[in-house]
Amino acid sequence: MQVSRRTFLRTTGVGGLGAAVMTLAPGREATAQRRALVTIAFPETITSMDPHPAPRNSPRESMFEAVFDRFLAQDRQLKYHGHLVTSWQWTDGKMGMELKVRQGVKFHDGSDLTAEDVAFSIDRLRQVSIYRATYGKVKEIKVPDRATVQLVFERFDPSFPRWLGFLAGFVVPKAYFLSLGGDDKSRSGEFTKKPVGSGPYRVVAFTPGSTLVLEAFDRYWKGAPPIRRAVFKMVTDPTARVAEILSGGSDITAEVPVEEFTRLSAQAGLKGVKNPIADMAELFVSPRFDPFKKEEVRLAVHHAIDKKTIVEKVLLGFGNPTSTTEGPLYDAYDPTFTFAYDPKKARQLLQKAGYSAASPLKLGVMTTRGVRAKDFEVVTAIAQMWKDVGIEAELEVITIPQWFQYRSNRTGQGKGIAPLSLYFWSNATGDPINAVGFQMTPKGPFRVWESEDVVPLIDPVFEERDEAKRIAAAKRAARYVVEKGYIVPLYQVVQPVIMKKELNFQPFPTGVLVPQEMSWA
Amino acid sequence: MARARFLLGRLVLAFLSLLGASLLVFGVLRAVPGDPALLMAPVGSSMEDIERVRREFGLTGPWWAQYGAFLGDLFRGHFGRSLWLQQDALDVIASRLPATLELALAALLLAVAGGIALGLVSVWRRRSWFESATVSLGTLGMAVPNFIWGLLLIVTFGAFLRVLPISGRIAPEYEAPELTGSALVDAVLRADAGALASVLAHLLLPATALALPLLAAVFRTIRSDLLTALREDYVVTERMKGLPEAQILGWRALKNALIPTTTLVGVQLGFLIGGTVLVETIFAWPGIGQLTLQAFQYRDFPLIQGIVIVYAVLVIASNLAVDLLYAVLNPRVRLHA
Repeated sequence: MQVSRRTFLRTTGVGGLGAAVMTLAPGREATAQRRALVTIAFPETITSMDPHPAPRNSPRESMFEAVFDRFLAQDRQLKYHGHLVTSWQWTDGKMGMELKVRQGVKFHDGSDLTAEDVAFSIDRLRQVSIYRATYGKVKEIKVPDRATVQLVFERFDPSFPRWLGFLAGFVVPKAYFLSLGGDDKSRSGEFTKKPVGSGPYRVVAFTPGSTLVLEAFDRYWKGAPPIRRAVFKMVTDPTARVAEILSGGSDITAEVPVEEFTRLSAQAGLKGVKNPIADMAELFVSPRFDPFKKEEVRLAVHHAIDKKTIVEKVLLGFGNPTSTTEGPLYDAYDPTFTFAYDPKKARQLLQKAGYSAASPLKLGVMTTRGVRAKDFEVVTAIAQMWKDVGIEAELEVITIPQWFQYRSNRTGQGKGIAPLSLYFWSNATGDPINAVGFQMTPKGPFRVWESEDVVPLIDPVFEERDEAKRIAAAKRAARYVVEKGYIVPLYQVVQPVIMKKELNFQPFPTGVLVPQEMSWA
Repeated sequence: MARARFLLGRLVLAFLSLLGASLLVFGVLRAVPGDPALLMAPVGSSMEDIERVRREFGLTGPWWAQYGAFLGDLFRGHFGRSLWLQQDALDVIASRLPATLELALAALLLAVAGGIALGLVSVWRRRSWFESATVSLGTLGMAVPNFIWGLLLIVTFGAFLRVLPISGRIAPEYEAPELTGSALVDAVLRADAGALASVLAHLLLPATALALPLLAAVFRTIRSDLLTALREDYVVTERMKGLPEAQILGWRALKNALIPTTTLVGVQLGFLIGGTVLVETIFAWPGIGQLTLQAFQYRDFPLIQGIVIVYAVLVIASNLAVDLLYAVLNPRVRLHA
């Protein structure tokens, strides 16, 4: 058969292009090589490997937790344990603290970790603007020996130990850090290019906003992690994350769209895990809305919400209905306390307050859209439930920055927050100070409700030095504020995680995806 | 001399444009709700802590004083300190800009070359199924936004066919760019064929997504102008002289058709550069586009202001380049200040 030049060129061109594309495609690797690597399609991004300055949320800590160690560690029950700091003791009537530092720990550059590094890290944290509120309570730091750090506080903060195992509470090498430049700003920039920690992995390559390539640190004090190499791909778009896991380009991801979870879990080679995390979806009640001066109205709003249906039908199972600000695993969680779904009672309460079908309660509700799973859909469903009992809600979609701005406008200057607003409160410390405490204290800028009756219940959460009594007080306060309708807890957030079937990983309630806790079957 | 006056005039215009852009972005950021100090303060902060953060961020004081401080920074060649990252904003932008330039240039090349090639073949094969198909695709290309193309390409080539990578700039096993900031150039300079292949593979989908709307516009313009040119007297004369159709089309007619196409590209370039924001986010491409969305999330005023200024400079510079190219293509055009 005679082949024309045109046909020949066409065929070889297509064939050549196909071959080129196939060589560029992610190829199949030997099983042994594959098992030495885990690739994580991560839903957040970081642009700096300096673990101290920038504000972050708990899931974003995954990358820092792989490279650095915190002073304390947190387990899957949100409980704190010794880590680089093996033990901590209150001293001087809880106006001081003594920390014992683990010996024999190496940084990635081979240098020894000592109390000086722990002290330096705490000192740096109290100077960094964002965390000064917490670490700034430390007015003096002493290092009597290589294994001991003594802190003196300006004022008592019962939650301080938790901050040693939370967010930016990481240890950096003092000598190496100080060698990097003239001031903290220049050092921070240089540190990002060549970060050194004491964690289970060391950094091989970091492209800000894109990828973080890690290699196991063989001299890690807990032993080298099971998987030798870990790659974080920062993929913020949920469709792209789904494509990553389906294509095999990544081995694990989280925060896939909830409606995709069942389909992805059923794919050959993949499995899904529903991971309850420490975030709570709540409706914040504004005290500046006149109808909310009546307790019946506030309680009617809450009684009308069928949380079980919302979790099943709207969230597709990605939530745990809750009646309290203190989620499961929080120290002040009270599993015996429930707030009933009772639309009949809601109607009665509204009638008592003077509302009827002819004269319904009208209120505005602010919500985000697409910031958290099904946020707008949840509020839309609740609005429908309210309509059934005689409440007409007008929804307004806002952004998170707008929410903060409106909530801070308490004096009438500028637009204030709506009578109700949806917010996802995160408290991975589990301490009630960081939940009902700051939600209800009249002294803080993050308060939800403002009334004097709450003060005697909330003050012990901040000031009581007997921990058992403090937690008991927090439980009472958490129950009280819901019984009075000062806040409407909705559900605990459940995080969808998809991973390869052969990958062993039990997720954390903080939402982190940490390669050192992963292994291949 | 005329060219020098032209360039000087454009520089003055550029300066005034940048000043206007700086005032606009400054004003808009302060007008929209969102206090960065409130956003970033951890839950244990008091009002005094937040006020201190505001002072450190330079967010207190009258707006004209804040704007003056911002302009002062600008004239000294920096954008201030990123509130969110706590790093120099110019350093952050400079580290991410090469990735955006790489993507934008690749998309531009793809759009112009692809649009011209398709337009040529479509006219050459006019009154055939190929012409109908390309015209339909051209309409589709212009109708669908680039971020939708991005998602379609990810699903098709990443999830379904599994032949191309869908995130990042280079496979993790290759060295991160350190020489020039451009992964492509670094791979060439290192003579690393594997890295080069990886960079090209990672670049293909995002560049295609970004390029498609402009490619479709170029295709339609080139096609329309070629069809018009083919009816011109000089083309009839060329045919009568016996010149091959391919030469008439690919050389004589195309040269004239490039002039309006250059104008089109100049106008559309701004949209292409702006399109990097969403495309970079979808493909996890570490450029200033991706950085923009994150900076807005945190109301990082210095970083947003810096990025807007950089984008304005890119658009102004690209428009100037197009004007100069236009003068080269069309000798009858005089450059006036």
